Amino acid sequence: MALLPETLLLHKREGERLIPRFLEPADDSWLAEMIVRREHAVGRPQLELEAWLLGDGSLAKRRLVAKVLARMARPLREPTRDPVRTREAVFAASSLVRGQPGHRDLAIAFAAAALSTSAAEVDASLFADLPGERKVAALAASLSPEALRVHVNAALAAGFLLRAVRVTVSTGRDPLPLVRHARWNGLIGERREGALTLSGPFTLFRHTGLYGRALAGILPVLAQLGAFTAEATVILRGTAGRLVLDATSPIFGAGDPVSKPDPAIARLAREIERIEPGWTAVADPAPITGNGGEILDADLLLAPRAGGAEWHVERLSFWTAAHVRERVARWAAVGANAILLLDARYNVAEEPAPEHPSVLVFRQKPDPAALFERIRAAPLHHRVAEQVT
Amino acid sequence: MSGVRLTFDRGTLLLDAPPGVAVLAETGVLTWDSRVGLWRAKACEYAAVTSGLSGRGVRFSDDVRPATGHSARLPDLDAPVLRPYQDAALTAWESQACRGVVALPTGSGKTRIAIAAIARARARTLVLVPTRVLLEQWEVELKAAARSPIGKLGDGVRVIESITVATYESAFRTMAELGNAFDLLVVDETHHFGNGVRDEALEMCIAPMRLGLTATPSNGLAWERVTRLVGPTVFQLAIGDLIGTWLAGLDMATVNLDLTPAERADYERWMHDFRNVTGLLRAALGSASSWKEMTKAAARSVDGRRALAAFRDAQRLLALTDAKRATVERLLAKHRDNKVLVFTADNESAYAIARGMLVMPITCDIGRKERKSVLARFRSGELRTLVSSRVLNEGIDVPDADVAILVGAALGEREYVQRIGRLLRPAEGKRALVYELVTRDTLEIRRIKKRRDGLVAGNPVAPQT
Repeated sequence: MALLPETLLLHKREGERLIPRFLEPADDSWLAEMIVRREHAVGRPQLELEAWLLGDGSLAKRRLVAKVLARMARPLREPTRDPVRTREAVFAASSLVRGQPGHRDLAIAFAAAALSTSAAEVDASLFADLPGERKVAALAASLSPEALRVHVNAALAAGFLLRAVRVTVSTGRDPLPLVRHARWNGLIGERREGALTLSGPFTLFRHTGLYGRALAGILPVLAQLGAFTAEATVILRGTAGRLVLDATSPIFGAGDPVSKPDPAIARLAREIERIEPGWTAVADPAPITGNGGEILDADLLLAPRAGGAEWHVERLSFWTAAHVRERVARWAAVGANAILLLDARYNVAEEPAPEHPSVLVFRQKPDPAALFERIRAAPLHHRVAEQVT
Repeated sequence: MSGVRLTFDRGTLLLDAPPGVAVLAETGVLTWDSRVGLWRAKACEYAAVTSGLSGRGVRFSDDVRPATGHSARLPDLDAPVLRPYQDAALTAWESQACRGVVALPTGSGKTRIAIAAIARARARTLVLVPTRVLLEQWEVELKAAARSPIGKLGDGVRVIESITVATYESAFRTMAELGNAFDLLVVDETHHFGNGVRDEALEMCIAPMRLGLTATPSNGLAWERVTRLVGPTVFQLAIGDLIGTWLAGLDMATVNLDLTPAERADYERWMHDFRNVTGLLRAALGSASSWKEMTKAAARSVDGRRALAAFRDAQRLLALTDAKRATVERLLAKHRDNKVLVFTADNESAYAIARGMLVMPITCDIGRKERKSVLARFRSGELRTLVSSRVLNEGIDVPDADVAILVGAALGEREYVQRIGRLLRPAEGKRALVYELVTRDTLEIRRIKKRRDGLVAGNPVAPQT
């Protein structure tokens, strides 16, 4: 999603309330024109796309849409001879013949001979790989004005949340996807009177980009919640304002946006189901709650298709031995079978990981076979409550 | 009060003391955080928190740093031999409680001072650099000096060691986790800090010792912020102080050029449109209004936006006029046996020269591998000219260049000092030559003198718009 500059966060203020100037169905006619304009731009230089989309119009709404529309498809590179090799040959030849009459043609001819190609092709491929030379690509699927409207509005909402210091979400649904998002992104969650407030540790002092990004990341999670009200404190031009979003805000379209599991976890789940056809691997399973209200959420739930003990797999981000021990103890407290995956590269204190059947250290990519060795070596209904060494 | 514990939490410090303890609030840096029921401070206030608590007789357990691993090991490296002015700079920094900025010209050995500082402080160190190219350069320099391994954060690598080099971007992303692992921060090209999200990396780190390095210290609000986060400028020399002794000698030639009649007509029309609107705006805003205020006001109206567009057109024209093209071509032919750097105001002009005169461009679009190969071929003499708008401005070691052609500039005095610095790495008998192409009766004339002030010591660079 395009992160918008502050100048494009269109809104009006009513007291302390920030009211985004979302696009409305009435805008669909000129949105349709911009989509056609975008289609006509296919093949033009990508760098000129935003200006091309704007045409003579400079209305703020048009600039906002042009910004979003310009970033909706990766630009194309002309298929040509390897430009890096071409440059190597051309500029070396250029240094040799610099100062001679017809220097440019001479250098190109030398390079063409060295590359066994024509001078025209050398000229055409010289900078063909550089962004300035890339061409506007067609969009992957046809885009309706309604879909574009939702896309732009979602970008606008994300732009506001990026500048938020805290967001309070009230929902009738289970807020655990938000809790999970907070945990992964270092946010602090406070539950009060049925509402969950998310903020970064630095909120106490000032807005930070780091935790602003984490707060902007809740938009896809909100889409999962169905009914909700989210109230954000946003710092805009140095002044705090209040932004309210809810399920009726025009930022969600049909089937869009949907939160997807981490690609690495999704890949691991696929690999497990491939090498262990007797098991199912579910990414981002429902969290489990212990008797004392302790909530834990795994990244993967492994279950034998024939029935039997299920295993929770949690991948830790940066870790220390103390943190691992604490997680092991928390899984023990809820009485679940669990394996903790530790990436050796994220060993913050560089002390060895605790030796425990539930702890598996990997490098780069977890090995599903090693994971199942652990599971099979564990006694039936093995619990993680054993003493951690 | 006793028995309280101070820990690191995601870029901040937490003290597990009860609420309402007046002595904690008196430190001025601890704030009660009702969200977690603990006292919290920014990580960069670590020294102030510990001295504030100790000074008020609060006994606490300092569990801020990780207990073991790379964080417990100390760097092992020899202090390099320093030149007299480098030694003076280091002494000045040490005398300011190891906090502050050393401002020295390009090629004068700032990296060497930093290595000596790390060796003398024997402190776990994080070096912050703006680009991946500099990440690699620092890694090479530190590996040559150190017996202990060098860590790296950035360019797809995450290895933490007692001395680690990180790009600003990686530091920004990871400081909330790693901010308690280092006691000395070396901030290369410090002038990039002071007004953006990058500052968060400095705020989320506990390191009490901080060494900023720059060729171009600034002033204004951003620099005040740098001063708070890194320390004051503790030592400063300009190019003029070292030329002919520790830096190569320098000759400068200004080449005055004219616009063609057609270019002149366009230029005057655009500037007329621009001045008409900005004159009205200045009258409304007051003569003391800044450029930033003026452009902000202009952007609010259609006429204002047209005026700004006209100004941009005029600047684009000046970036590479017909006369400049012809002169660059002549100078390249004249200096075909020298190693020449051509500097332009923007990438568009750099590519125009690259394509038209077949000069290898070094821009942000050229990949790391190719850039590395190009610089090696420039060193060997296989390539003898490079053109760039920004990338060569700072940090990158350009081997042995001795002629520069300044075709256009976009960023004023700082950029000027940095560009000239590219040529001044000393060598036996070396004398660098800088051509500055200037178009008569245009905006460029007025800007020259101002830029040149940056070559003289004691002239901090004005904040850029």
